[in-house]
Amino acid sequence: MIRINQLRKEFAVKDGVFTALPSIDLNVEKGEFFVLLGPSGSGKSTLLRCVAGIDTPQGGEIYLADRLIYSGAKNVFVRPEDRGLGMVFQSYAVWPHMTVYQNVALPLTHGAKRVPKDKVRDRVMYALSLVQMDRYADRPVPHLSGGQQQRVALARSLAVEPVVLLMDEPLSNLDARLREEVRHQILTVTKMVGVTVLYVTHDQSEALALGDKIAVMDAGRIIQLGTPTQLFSMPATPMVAEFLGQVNWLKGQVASAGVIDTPVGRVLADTRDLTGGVQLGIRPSSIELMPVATGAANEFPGEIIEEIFLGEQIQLRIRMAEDVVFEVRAQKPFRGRHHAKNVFCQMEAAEMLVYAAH
Amino acid sequence: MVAPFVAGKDATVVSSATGHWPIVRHLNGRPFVFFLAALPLVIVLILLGVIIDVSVVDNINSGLSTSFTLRHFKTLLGDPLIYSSLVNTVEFTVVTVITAMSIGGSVAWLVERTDLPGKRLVYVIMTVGLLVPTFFMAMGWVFFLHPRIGMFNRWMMDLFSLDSAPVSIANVVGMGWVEGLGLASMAFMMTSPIFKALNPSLEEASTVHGLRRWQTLRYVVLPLIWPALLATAIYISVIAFAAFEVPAIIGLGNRIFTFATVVYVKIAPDTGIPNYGFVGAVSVVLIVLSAFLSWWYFRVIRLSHRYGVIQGRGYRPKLVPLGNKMWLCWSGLGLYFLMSKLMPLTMMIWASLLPYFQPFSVEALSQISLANFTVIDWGLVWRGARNTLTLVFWVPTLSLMFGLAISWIVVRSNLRGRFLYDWISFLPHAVPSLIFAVAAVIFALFILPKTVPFYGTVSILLMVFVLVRISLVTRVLNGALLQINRELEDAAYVSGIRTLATLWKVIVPLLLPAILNLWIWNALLSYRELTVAAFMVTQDNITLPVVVWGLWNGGLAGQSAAVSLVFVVLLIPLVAAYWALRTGADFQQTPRA
Ligand SMILES: Nc1ncnc2c1ncn2[C@@H]1O[C@H](COP(=O)(O)OP(=O)(O)OP(=O)(O)O)[C@@H](O)[C@H]1O
Ligand SMILES: [Mg+2]
Repeated sequence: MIRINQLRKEFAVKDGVFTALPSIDLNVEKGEFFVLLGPSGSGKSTLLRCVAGIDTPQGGEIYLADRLIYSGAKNVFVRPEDRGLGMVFQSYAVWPHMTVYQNVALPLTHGAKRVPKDKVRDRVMYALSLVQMDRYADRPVPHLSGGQQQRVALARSLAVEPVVLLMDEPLSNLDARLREEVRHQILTVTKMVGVTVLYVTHDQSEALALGDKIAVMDAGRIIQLGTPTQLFSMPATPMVAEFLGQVNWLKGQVASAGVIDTPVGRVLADTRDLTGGVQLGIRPSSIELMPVATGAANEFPGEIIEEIFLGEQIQLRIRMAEDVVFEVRAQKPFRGRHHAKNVFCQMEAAEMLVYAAH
Repeated sequence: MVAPFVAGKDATVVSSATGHWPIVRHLNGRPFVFFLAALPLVIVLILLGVIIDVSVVDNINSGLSTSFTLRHFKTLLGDPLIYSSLVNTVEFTVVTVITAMSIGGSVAWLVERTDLPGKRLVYVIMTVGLLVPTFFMAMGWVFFLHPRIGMFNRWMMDLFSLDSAPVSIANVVGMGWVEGLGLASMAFMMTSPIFKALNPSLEEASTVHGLRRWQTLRYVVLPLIWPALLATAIYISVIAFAAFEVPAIIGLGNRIFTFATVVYVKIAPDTGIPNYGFVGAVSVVLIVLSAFLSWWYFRVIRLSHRYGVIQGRGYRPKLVPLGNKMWLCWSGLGLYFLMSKLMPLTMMIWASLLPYFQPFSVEALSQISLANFTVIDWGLVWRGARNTLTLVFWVPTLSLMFGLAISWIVVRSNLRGRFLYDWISFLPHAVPSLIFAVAAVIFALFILPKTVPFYGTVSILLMVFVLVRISLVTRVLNGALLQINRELEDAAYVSGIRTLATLWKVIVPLLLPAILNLWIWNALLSYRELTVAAFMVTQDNITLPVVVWGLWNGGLAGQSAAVSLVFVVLLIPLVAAYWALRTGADFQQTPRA
């Protein structure tokens, strides 16, 4: 649905040019929910804005449903108005001088793809009903909460029946509880309509929950691309691993295939074809705490040095060796049952992340 | 439930937005905006080119020779009038700035930094001050302090049996004083944000660490705000330097010239033909000096931003308690109101009722009549009023239209040359407006083909009025546009709405408060505009202020006062509308009078 070849975007800055995107290649299939995930400043928004046509790239090509909408070499640039997109912005960008209804209707009455006059109302109300905002049709937009405004923005972008729906951190202005609610709504509605989505976020839980596919970006490059499970279980680099969730790192040496010597002890893990120094990552979720030694593989003693109460869970800091402290999550009962300082950490060999040391 | 729609399907599309209007689809709205923005700016450049051209060609009115010459500049250098008027202009400017800044600055400090009661009323007095025409005030002061007929002087002479007038307005200092009284309102509007924005914790930090109040003022407050104050002073001096109304009303009759009035007598001489070459040369000098002041202004402004003091943050400054001094302050404010508004108004009413001007007396009272009102050429007044009202409607409308196009390009487009738009749109501020008037006259008379009837029409007035308003309009709109989240506009484009429709449906409604405010403000300024009109009018395109000016210049002070009263009465609904609209709104961006 979206095909991007060698897209290059530069910004003119005071002392020359800043290359935000050196060369991006990307393919989004029809009906896919595609998430661009990356830290702040990694160029996600820039990429999205190039697809929208709000920013003009300096080279490369973009196809939208097999239609060439941008090409540096062929000097093609289709204006955003004519790309047939929908877009949801971080700031909602609902027009504050209009009602909910008018916001959704304006693109249908004044946009590039117009709808017969007698169909506008049905179309608007249907779009609003998708996000359960039809009751508020006649409300002035500034009288709505943030979550409601964002739902209006979603309805507005869907009502034009977009080829692709673009979203730039649509949830980041909402507070935590609303965020989950709107996130859920975005997922159901987009799946129901079957629209292709290109979604930008820097929040890994959002990416994992929403994406059919995720591209992790850093410094204007796509570092890894895959399904949420692929990414979570096999992050290509330590940076991706950290970005998708907390990781405890251990330095080690490969003793033989599948065996790594670490300050904690001898760890069994898939070393693939790595030899020499490695970096071993263990997610808190891959660690199980035992009150007593069971003799299982990859079980190491540790000493609890700090407990942080998080509500449903507690976070423990466990000293595993001289300079090695693990962060581990435990369910609340663990604490009640066991007051001892000493515990045993069992680490799931299959879930270990192993990288060459750098 | 209505049938669900399918992503990406195009079945219900009836028409591409402008499918039935191919031209617009081709232009896509944007080129049209670029054109709208470029049009006034190109004219600005043409007119400046005309002035420079006229100053270096031999004789534009005879049309005989158009070879390059520096003759006019030589004449200029040899003309004693130029030297005296240069000295006068500088002195006039200095007195104006001192008067305006000391009155405006103190009132601003009182309003922003003390617990003075009745601040709203002060605001009313000060903003209305910007709307009372300067020529009106100047006429009032002439009636009051003229060495021969001035009411005050006559009283003093009678009372103390003096041989000559104790004070006279008919000198450079007097002119500067009157101009300064008029510009005090602007000084107030420009300095009050400075006092408002000064972070009080800076002062508190100084007091807490043991500095006394005057030391705090000397070492902390003044160093922080002086760049902003200086910038305001320079801004006002740009206006004073090329001011026409006061020097014309007070100075011309007494043969005291400033640059502006020199240009006037050369282009509209009592006898002989206008010397356009000479006018061009004087204008070039004026342009250079004004451009220097503007350049200085920008340098100083940058300095004031560097300190980051003038940010308009919503601090809550600690207010200085005035106590009993409050009465003193209000007396001062009352005196200002008396001198700048009430006294001139009284003088004008009195003058309009008398056959010739004389002080209050029983004898004078017996001569009171409405004769001045009956002998007025009402046909002329009516024509002037009609032309003025045409301008009052079209000038703000057109300047907003052009201004919006320019601001949109400067703030929102990624056009490579957008800084040029910004830069040129500032020229009408840096270059005195009378220059544009002179240039337009020369352009219409000598450069346009004779068959084009442009000279002497309301359209030529309209053109120059709009041009001189562009700077203010774009500056205010730039600020207002920057306040609007860019994503609101992007959202429109992405959902398929084209540039023109986006401007009209999204941006204009969001800018509406600023637009209305600017519209009325510009309408008022066009209503009272004398300078530009005085240089350009003929019998046909005469405006109301020029009728007043013509009568005054012709020595018919009584009739002139009568017409100016009509003028002021007609102003009332406009001012009322302005006040109704701008109540509550913060008018930080100070317009240029
Ligand atoms: N108009 C611009 N001029 C100069 N540099 C820019 C401009 N817009 C973006 N950049 C730079 O491009 C890089 C990518 O910016 P972008 O907004 O795409 O980041 P992002 O991944 O969306 O970050 P965030 O999560 O903070 O939104 C940043 O380093 C940014 O500073
Ligand atoms: Mg971003």
